[in-house]
Amino acid sequence: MNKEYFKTIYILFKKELMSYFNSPIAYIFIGVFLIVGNWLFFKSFFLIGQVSMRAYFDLLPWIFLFLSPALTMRLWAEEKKSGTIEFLLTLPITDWQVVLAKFFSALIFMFISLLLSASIPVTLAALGNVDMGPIIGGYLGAIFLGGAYLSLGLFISSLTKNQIIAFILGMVACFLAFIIGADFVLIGMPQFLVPTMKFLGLGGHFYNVAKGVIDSKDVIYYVSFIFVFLWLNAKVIETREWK
Amino acid sequence: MIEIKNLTKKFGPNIVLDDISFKVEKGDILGFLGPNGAGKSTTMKIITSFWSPNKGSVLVDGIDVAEDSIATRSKIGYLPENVPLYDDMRVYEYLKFIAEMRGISADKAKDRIKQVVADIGLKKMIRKPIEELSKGYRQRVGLAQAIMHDPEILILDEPTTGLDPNQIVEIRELIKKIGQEKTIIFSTHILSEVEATCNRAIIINNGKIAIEGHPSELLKKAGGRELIYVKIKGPEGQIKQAIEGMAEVAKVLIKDKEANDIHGFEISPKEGVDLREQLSNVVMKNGWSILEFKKIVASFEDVFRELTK
Repeated sequence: MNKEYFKTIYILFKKELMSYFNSPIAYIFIGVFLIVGNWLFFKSFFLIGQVSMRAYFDLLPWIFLFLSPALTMRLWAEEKKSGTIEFLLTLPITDWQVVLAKFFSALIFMFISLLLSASIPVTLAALGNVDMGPIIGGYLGAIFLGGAYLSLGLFISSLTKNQIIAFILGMVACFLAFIIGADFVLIGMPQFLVPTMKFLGLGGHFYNVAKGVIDSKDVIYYVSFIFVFLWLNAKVIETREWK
Repeated sequence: MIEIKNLTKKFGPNIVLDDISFKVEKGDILGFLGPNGAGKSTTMKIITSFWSPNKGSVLVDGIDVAEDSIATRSKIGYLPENVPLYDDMRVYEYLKFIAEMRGISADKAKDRIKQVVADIGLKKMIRKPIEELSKGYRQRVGLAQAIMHDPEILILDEPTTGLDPNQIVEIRELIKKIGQEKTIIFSTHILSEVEATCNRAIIINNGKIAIEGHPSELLKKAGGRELIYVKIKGPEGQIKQAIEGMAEVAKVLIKDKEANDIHGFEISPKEGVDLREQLSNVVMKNGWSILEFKKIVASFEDVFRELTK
């Protein structure tokens, strides 16, 4: 792992991030994210009358469920459809570097959108005393959860040429990964499976972090989840026998 | 420069490449011919390490593609079939991305892009989004991309397909110009292109090499015969008899008739003899006259069709 290795990733990362902003998708994404997030939050905010972002972070996983597959759907599917993948993968770059560059471009884009939603904590701070712990935790959890959704969505995008299929399957997969540990799912499950499923679900870990309790168990969980799907993604790209 | 040894590629039950071996020397311009699905693109995809073979190996400048593909990729400039480009980028943006990916440092990249753009004739289009370019200009962007890092080897998959005749000539001239210092493999359907640009040609069919050599050798190797067509004014029967009587002639056919006393004859000479002089002597001695005289060489098209039937 030398400097050149990361430089190559950075160059491709930069190009991928730029191409978000070259197409309308970036602006639609940010627009929808901010409008839906703010509206849903402030709708109930004045009813509840609590100076806390808890409701916002309860919502976030569901908003991400729609938006993160929208970010990842084209990353591989479009390259495959237009044939640029053949050109990209014959440049002096390894499959891993490409996967990492694509993943981080989506992650940083999501991070930028999250930064723009900082209007909410700023508003709250103006309205009263806020406990910053859960807010920072919430944002951190959002990044981890977003990263998990994106790695899963990216992997699914590598399986198809069709962006719409990548989007829908990505959404379904993220949804399943999110609710697998939820209480209403676990109720119907045999007892011995419950702890495993509870651990595997993306949701439980998110709410842990969002409470402001940052446990290494949750962090390791997210990092492994992301790594597994990036690794699978690299494997799919390596065996590129599609015609 | 490029050494291909016993390359085999299968897709499920289909054998696309069947134990192909050939070498490309430094400075060669190799034309890769064959019908659709013969395995041209597959071979190129394996050399550029997009695909890996089921069997066999590819050495680029002595380096095995399977062992250090990053090193071999750096030596190769590749233009895939149908010129896939990032349509949402502008030409300049795209070329800058390529330059960076190819490891050209930022201070040198600008000059290099300028030079490439001037060589390829892209100057007017530099600020345009790629999606707005005509096919000819897309092809140029594809070529610019391939030569950006001044590679020793260029692999061009059907660089002239889908262009109009003027563009074809332009791109062909570009390839010739670039090819002066490089080793080039390019595939095509247009046979005259190979005759015009290549110093070597390989015809591949059903995953096997049907024939290889210099374009003019191919004609001979494939049994391309030389015929002589001559139009003579005089009595038909006597002329035919006189020509058939010559020692050098194998066969004479009357091909056409322009007037009552003007006929066209197709003459097959015996192996390796030049009968032009004798023929005109015979005609003159009899007081007839030659109105037309030409050599007919079996064309590349004939050879191609013969081999790939």
